[in-house]
Amino acid sequence: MRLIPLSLACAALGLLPLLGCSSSKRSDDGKSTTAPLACSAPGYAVDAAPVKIDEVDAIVNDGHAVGLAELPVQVCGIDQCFNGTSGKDGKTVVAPHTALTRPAFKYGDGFEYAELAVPLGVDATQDLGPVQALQLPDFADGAPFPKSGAVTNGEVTLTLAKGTDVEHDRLTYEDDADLVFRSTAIPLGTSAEALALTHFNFELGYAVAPLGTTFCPAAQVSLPNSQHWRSGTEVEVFIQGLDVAEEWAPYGTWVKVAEGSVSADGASINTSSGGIPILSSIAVRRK
Amino acid sequence: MAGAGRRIALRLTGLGLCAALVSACGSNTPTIPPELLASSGCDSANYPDGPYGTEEGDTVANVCFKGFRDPSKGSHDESALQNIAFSDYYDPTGSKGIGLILIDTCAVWCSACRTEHEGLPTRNNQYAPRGLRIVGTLFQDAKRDPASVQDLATWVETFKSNFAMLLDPDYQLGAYAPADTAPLNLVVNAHTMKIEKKLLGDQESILWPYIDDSLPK
Repeated sequence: MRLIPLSLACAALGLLPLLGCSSSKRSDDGKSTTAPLACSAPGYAVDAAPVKIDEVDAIVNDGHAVGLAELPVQVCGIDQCFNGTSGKDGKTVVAPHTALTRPAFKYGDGFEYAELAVPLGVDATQDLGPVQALQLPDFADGAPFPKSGAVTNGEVTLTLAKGTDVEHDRLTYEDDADLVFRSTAIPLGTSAEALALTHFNFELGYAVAPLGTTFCPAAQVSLPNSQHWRSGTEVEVFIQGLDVAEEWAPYGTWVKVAEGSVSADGASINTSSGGIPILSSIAVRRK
Repeated sequence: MAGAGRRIALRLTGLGLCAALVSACGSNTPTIPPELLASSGCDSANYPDGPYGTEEGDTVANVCFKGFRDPSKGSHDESALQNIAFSDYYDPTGSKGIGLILIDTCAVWCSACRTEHEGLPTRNNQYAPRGLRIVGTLFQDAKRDPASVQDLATWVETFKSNFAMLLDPDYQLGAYAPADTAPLNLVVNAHTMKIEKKLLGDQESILWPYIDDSLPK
């Protein structure tokens, strides 16, 4: 499979989310005043030529070479989606036989398993090989979102400023019990998803739920310094667009949303500017 | 019409049995004429005779659904559901002021459908005065289970739908395209109920110029 290279356009747009929110303004007399917080989605829709996709093959496994059956998968362009379901051996074949605009292979339902996406190349027939589905923690183990402050699940801590507006995708997550924060690490192994991560030189990756939850202002992120990077090491934080509306991130690929560094004690990685505007897969690399 | 399509059409025709359901109507926009508001719901009297088909040039079979004729008004619970059929939009003489019907399928899992529906209220405002009626049908939820009234309610509230949004939990419109090719867009001539354009996927760059060119200025 040939992965779509990192778009220069995305790189140029990368700083936009850092500027997406504002919470104060200056009045005519020059004094700073509090204004209603407004977060405007940067929007990443770009014109692209459709790509003829005949068939996409993959083997969905649990990370231990065991095929996962009955897992929903999709081949989705921004214009059309084709569904599939993995067989008993994890084998999945989706055969759109049509042209799709910026297609990606998506797997996982966003409920029991994290929803992940692998951008597709331009070949009509593509075999992604093994893709590792990531089981999310049980809903019961998820963390409810506070009105403000920290919410942690797995290795990921989000910190919401006072007054943060949290909006969930109620179409997808109908039950209140589904609206808890859950995360799991994306192993940098040999699956197609991991290859996509390494293509960007990411060194940490996390899948999260509930997908599509937006934060205004953007949430700060804190992660354990599991790679034992030196104190003060500067990092860049990216999110992956899973939504074809592309309001907060480009579909299928990644966009930088925050910068941060390793804490003085070396224990954690913390964002210092920007933040997570929408819950979607998160990745980190050193600057 | 192909043999497979003919078999499908027969199945669709059988769906007219839902005429026993009770009807009720609301308005969509101020441009909706009284004739449509007085529709008998699943009544298909005077609907064009078959043969029916599923491809461009074919006549669409009448199908009846439950849904919200004008989600921008009133509640979105089960008690607000109305019986709505394609025949409601059949306008052979032009007395209802309907020129084209856009039948659009959607599902919660379908990202392209969601994107499309974000823009449909504006399109409806733009083209309803020129004779377009949009009829959306929601068939599955995020888990690919049949769509529920709650799903439909959340859908119309999320996208601020201002046109008919119907429930199709049995995916009756599967006769026209498999679920996994959603969204399906059928542009139907309201005077004849013939399919003028059939598009799979959100192909707005083709769909809307076609509609714009087809409606009176």
